[in-house]
Formats: sequence, C-alpha cells, structure tokens
Amino acid sequence: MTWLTPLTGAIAAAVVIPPLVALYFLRLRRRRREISSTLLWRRSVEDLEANAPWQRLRPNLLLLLQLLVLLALVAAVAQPIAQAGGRSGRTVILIDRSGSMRAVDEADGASRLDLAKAQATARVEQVLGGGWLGGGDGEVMVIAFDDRAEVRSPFSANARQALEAIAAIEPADGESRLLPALELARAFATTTDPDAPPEAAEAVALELFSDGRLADLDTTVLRKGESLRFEPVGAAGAGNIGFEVAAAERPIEGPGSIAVFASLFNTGSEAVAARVSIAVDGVVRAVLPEPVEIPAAKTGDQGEFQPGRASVSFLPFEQPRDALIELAIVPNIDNSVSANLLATDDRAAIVVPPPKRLRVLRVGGRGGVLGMLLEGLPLERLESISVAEFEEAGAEATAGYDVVVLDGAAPASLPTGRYLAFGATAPIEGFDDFGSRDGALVRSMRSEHEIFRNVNLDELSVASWRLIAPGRDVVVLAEAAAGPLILFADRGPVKVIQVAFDPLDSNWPLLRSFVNFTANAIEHLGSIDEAASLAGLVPGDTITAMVPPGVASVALRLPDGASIELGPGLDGAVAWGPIRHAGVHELSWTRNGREERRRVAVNRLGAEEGRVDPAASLTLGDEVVGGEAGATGRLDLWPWLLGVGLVLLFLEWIVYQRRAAP
Amino acid sequence: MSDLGSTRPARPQRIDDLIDGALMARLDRLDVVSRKIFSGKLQGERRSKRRGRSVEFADFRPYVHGDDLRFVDWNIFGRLDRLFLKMFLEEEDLSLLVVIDASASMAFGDPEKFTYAQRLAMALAYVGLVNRNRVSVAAFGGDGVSRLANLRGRAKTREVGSWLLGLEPGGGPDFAESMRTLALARQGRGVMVVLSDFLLREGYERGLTYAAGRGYDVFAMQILAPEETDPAGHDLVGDLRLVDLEDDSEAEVTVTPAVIARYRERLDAYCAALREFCVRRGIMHIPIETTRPIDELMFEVLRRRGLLK
Repeated sequence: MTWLTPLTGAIAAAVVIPPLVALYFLRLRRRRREISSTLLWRRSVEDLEANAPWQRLRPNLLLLLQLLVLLALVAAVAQPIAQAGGRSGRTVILIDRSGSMRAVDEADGASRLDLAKAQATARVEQVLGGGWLGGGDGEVMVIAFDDRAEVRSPFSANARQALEAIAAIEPADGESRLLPALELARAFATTTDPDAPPEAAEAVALELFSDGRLADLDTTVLRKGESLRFEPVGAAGAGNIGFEVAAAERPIEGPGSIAVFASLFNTGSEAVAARVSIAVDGVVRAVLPEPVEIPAAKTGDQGEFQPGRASVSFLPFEQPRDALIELAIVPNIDNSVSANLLATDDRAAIVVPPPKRLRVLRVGGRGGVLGMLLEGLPLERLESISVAEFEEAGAEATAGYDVVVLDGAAPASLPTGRYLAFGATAPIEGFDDFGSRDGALVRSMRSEHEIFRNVNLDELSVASWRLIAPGRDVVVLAEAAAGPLILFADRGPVKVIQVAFDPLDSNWPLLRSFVNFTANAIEHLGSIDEAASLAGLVPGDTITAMVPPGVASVALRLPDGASIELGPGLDGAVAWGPIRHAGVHELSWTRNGREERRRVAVNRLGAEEGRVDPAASLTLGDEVVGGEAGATGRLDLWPWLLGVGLVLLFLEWIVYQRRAAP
Repeated sequence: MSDLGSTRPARPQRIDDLIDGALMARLDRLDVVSRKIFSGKLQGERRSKRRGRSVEFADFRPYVHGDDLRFVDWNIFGRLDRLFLKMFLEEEDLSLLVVIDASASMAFGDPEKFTYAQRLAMALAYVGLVNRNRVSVAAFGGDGVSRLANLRGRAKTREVGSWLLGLEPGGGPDFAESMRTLALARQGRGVMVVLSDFLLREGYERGLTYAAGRGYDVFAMQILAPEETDPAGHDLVGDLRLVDLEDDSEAEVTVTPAVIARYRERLDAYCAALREFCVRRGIMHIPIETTRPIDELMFEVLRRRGLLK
C-alpha cells in the first residue's frame, strides 16, 4: 500500500487526535452524585494520580471508538492506494503528442493527449507522492515526443514541476517515433561520473503513455536493463478516415487550369461513406455530388494492416493565377462518431504556383539532337552560346535564365544557377572525374524521383561515359555497375543534374525516355523552389525557400496566426523548422515597396499516423511490452476508510446513547 | 441505577416513627451506665445501701477496649486471669447528653444517617428518661447548636421526640466550636453520646478534646452509611462528579476498582485514626452502620461496650 499524501495525513493526525484526547478529559460526561463528603475521595484520587500519572488513560470504549474514527479519517486524508506503484528510483514519463493523439474518443471532448496527460499526472503523483504537501524519494523526468523528443522536465523530485510540465504539453501533428524519445531518456539517465561503478547507474523505468501507433517500432529495441511500461490510451475499435494523398497539377495541354486528385484512407473496421469538398483561396468551389465509399481496413496475407482506400478527382478548372487549394472530408451524418476520430487529417492543402514558362540557356554543342529537343519544348525563351561566351560573361551569364543546359561543355566555373549537364563533368565540388569508361547499362534508378516520371532506362545502353565519384551530399539518381550515370548536387546557389555521358554516345536519343527525362529535368530545375510548395510538407519537415537578393527580413505566419521573423542567409535562403502543426504557412517579404508572398502547405497525410485504434501491446525487437491499461487506475482506499469511519461513528453514537440513557 | 442524592428516604414524621411501643417496652429494662464515678447535684432515683458513700458496687462486666483501667478488679484478674470491670451503682442523678450531628453530610445514605441518628438518640434518651436520669439532647449543624436540656422522667419522652422530629440536617458544622459550647454548658458530670459520621473537613480532634476534657464519659458513635463503606456495591463507579453535601464542592472522580480500593484504605485509616484518638482520651469509639437494627445495637453493642446495662 502506498500513501500519496503521508505528510498531510501526519499533520492532520497531529492536529486532530491530541485535541480529541484533551477534549475527552475536559468534556467528559460525568454523572452527578451527591455524597456526604468528598474528603476521602479527593485524597484517594490524589494518591492514585501521584503514584500513576497515566491512570486516566484507562480503557474507555467511547474514547477508543472516537480514536478509531479519527484514525480512519486521517488515514483517508493520507490517501492510501492499494497498488504498490510507488518507487524510489528514477522514472521517465514518455508522453506521445503526435497527430493521432488528437483523436477524441469520449463524448466529453477530451482528446487522447488529455487522457494521457491525466494518466501521467496520476502516475507522477503516485511516484512522487503528489499534492502540495506530499513527498517521495523518487525522481521523474517528463519527455514529450512525436517525431522529435523534447525534455519538458528534467529528473526532479519536485512533483509540482513535473505536473506543470505535463499540463503544458500541447498536441503536435508529427508522426510518432519512439526512438528519439528513448535516446533522449538514455542520454539523461546515463551516469557521467567516470569514477562511479557501473552498478551505481540505477536502472531507469520508462513509462509510455501513447496510443501505441509508433512509426519506428521495427527499428527500436530496448537495451539491456531497460524496462518499458506501456499504458495505452484510447478506445479499442476506433476508426479514422483521412487524406492519404492530395495533389494538384496544371495539365500540359492547359497550363491555365488545375486538376486535383486525392486518395482517401479508412482505418476502421467498417466501410465509411464521405464527401470531399474543394475550396480555392478560401472559397468552396465544389463538393463531390456522390459520397465516396471507403472500404473497411483489413489484414493482409502477411498479417499486415491494410487500410481501405478510395480515390477522388476533380475536373480541371480554370485558375490562371496561383492558388491555395483546400480539400476537406465531409463525413456522412449517418456515420458513427467512432468512425472518424481524428480531424487533423480530414483536411489537406495544396499551393499551386501560377503557370510558368521557363527560360533556358544552352551552352556549347550547337545543333544536334539535344538542340532539336530543346526547341520542341514549350519554353518562353531558348538561347544558345558557346563556352567561351559563357565564361566571358562571368557571373552575369546565367542572369535571366531559369535553367542552363551544358551540352558537352565544361566551363571553368559555374556561376549561380541551375544546370543540366550532359557529357563533360560540371566543375563543382563533389563531382570527381576519374576519366572515361566504356560500356554501361543502367542497373538502378530512383524511379520515384520527379525527373524519372514516364522515364524507363532499361533499354539505355551507353558506349562511353565519365566515371564520376560522388562527393558529400551528392545524390546518385541512376547508376551502372561501375559507377553513377546520373547525379544531382545541391550547392546552395548552384544546383546541377549531371548526366555522365554524351547522349550521342548511347542509344538514348532513339528512346522516348530521353525526351521525357530532358523535359522533366528542365522543369524540375526551373521550378525547384516551387517544388516544395507543390509537393507540400509534413509536420517535422523544415521550410526552406530562396528569397530575392536584397530582402533583409522575412515574416513567417503560422497556421495559428502567430508570426515569426526570419533572416535570410548569405545564399538568400531562409529556413525554419521543425514544422509542428499542419496547415498553411505563409512567407512574406517586401521588395521594392511591394509585398511578395509565398505559401507553403503542410499536411498530415497518410494512414500510418491516421490509424487511431490503440495498440494493445508493443513489439520492440523480440520483446513484447503488454499494455497496462488501468494500471495507474489505482485502487483508492480512502472511500473505504471513510465508510469504516462512518460505521465506527455510528457505533460510537450507539454506545454514547446507551451510556447517556438514565 | 439510582441517584442517592435525589431519592432520599422519607424521614420520620411522628414519634412512633422514631421509637415504637415494642422497642420502648424492651428498652424499659435497660439503664445508662457510666464508666466513671460521678457526683450528681441531685439525689438520684436509686439510693446507696451504705450511706455516706457516693457510689456502690453493683456488678462486674468484661473489660472492653477503651475502658478505664482504673476500674479493673485486679483481684478477679488474679484469680481468673481475666479482666473485669467493677460497675458502680449510680446513686446520684446521671446526666445524659445525646448530641446529634445535624450537618448536611448526615443526610446521606439509605438508610439515611440522620434518620438513624434520630432514632438512636430517641432510644438513648428514652432509656435515660425512664431511669430518671437528667437527659439533654443537642444538635449541631449549619445553624449552630440547638439544645433541649435537663429533662427527666418518662413523661418527657414526647417532648424529646418532638424536638428530634423538628431537626433538619443542613450546612457544614463547626464541630470544635459546637463541642466547646456544649462542654462549657454542662451541668454535672455525666455521659455524652455524640452521634456523627465524623467526616469533618476541619477535623474532629479539637471538638472531641473539648468534650473529653470537661469530665464527660464520652461515647463517639460514628454512623456510616453502606454507600460509604461499600461504594462499589452501591453503583458508585464510573465517571462521576461528586458533590459534597455540606459545601457543594465538586470533585470529578473516575471511580475505578483501583480508586475504590484506595478509598477503602483511606476510610479504614480514617476510622482507625479516630479510634486511636478516642482511646488516647478515654472516649469510647463505636462505629455503626445504618443497616444495623436499633434494638440490636442497643441490646448487644451498647451493652457490651458499657453504655447500657
């Protein structure tokens, strides 16, 4: 049995019991009896009192009952609990604040994070004694985590500090990742005293308050000596629907219009019907006329969880300017409340920039297949210059162009700009040319990358190519067995996609993939700043943007209306992160007296974090941590003690009445 | 559970309540005896056979504790090895003074101590009257000393009875001053019988010294109620607020077996001290419990103790 407020109980006992005993002597109900003389009686009592100072503390049923009543009440004040949960060591409270913890299971509107905080509060009170007058010999640290972990209260025996830290935890929209929280706890729990013996490092008890939907369970294990106690939060069987993908695109045939696509998921055990609405710049444009039936989730052949999915698309609509497109799920009123517990992923925002035609500068290699291809692209401007002209122009050479295509050209240096280099190796850090090699076939490629959209390199055969050793932060997009064939280097103001062979030394000009790749690469490089806007970000990412030269201050407005001042770096880039909440973030600055804005959409998409039915247990490596729901729902004994006190009081009343009766 | 302070027994209302005919008939055979030789001022009812002598040998009786050793017949002791007292025939008139303690403390007990004292005084006075002794009755209490003096003859029985019936216990006495007053008012030597519980806060020593110092043959009859001798047997236990009947002082006492035992020790010691005091001054101490019948007291105890014959 543990006492939550032992000091309070002791103080109450010290305050109440002595006065009772004193009152007992002072206010003892005595029968009045007349006698001939008190002479002998006084002497007799004086004799006894002189010889036995405690003779008045004789057995007395009334006093005994009253003392028992008071003891029961005092014990109730000390708040005994039946569960032996208190510990004297160090405890780390891990509270999941990820997006799924926003789910509201109960009708009272309390979110799972609220429930987790309440359970953690009870646990802290249990460990540290709780209450203002309580005390304990344990220490508690509080860590809040989603995809990042944050210490909200270091190891301390101060219950008030820990409770305030727990109360101050706000929900975030990031996904749940346990490993950062574990590593943070380990860092604080490790003894740094080299002289201390190993056994001096007391084992730390980890206590997790979460719905158990953790994204990194597969890669997380507990170390030797670590113990994790998992207290699940949330109602079993809860379902959720949300956006898994939301995308917008300007069709090539009509860049003035926008087509919107979305994919919906359902993690519940029953199919759900929902409508989707679309709003452009805050004005609802359309609602799907028929509800979309999202099938129920199921378990795959390997036992994996497979959410139900459904897709929706909106017909292209005219939007010649940039646009903020917001999609929202409108659940059918027939659906049960538990079918969609999480509202965060019911909305998705897409920022679509205005239609833009690129300006391309081609350096070297006049004519040829590449020249014909570039002339066939829908560009605003295409210029061709020689390498000498390029080098002579210096830093001004790239001014006014979105993309520079190096057609077998190798200038001495590359001024600020975005380059697509064919054949000769671009002079940039990270591209180390080890000479020419013969014969290569593409063995692997990052087909998910935007530049490989509708590109298949299986039939590409290269006769001669340059062996380039990729340096730091160089991304290999496609490679042969002997080395990379297509690379990407981002050096801030200079970005280069390097093709390590001349297309004429391969069969690529004969393949359709050559056209698609070149178009994709130029489009990608030309809109690289807007790419983030189009693709959108997720909570936990960092917002980065290039701002025009001369801009000294950039204001970032968060979805909740708060504003943050950012200063651009030397390369003209601003960065802020990690993003905590989903929603539209807006960067704004003033240039030449005009305010310019750039919006960034941050969405909490995907079924992984949208899965809201709590896990019954966690599997960490080969260890299964069972959920201990209600474990901290300790058995409070004070109501029982109060009941005992009332019964004793009743008995005392009966005894008193019998004695007082004539 | 009875509260003795609130349920007092009824007091005698008539002389017959004090002494009935049957008892009077039996008491006719008794007479008061003094352990001392007295010289009365008037001629007594019984004359001496040998003129010129004031007293005449009458009888022997066994020696009891407290008797004056000067009256022991040493010749009989030499022959029988037993102590006998020589009893003298009272030739002159014998003065009998019966003093009743009428303080509030006497209004206690069941039977009540004061009522018992009234009856005993009536019986003693009757014995004195029928033997033509000079009988006086007196009472001391909160109102001081009252007295009915110098009565003689059976005809005064009613007067004595009426006077006794008119007494009411109350207040706290000044025992020493009362005894001094009575002793100084003495006419002739005689027998003084003091009926009291002797539970006196200021002590009994000075009062009894006054009484014994004036030549009386003093009998101190200590009347105690059964509630005083055996409190535990009369529900005097538990958490009590004891109220003194004389001065209304209160004592909060939790009466436990230990307290009862201590009280008994105290009472025994108190009575022993009284008896010791009396012996030293030639006073006959006779403890009496109110449960003892009057006739039994008269015919057995007082005869054996030498007050009556």
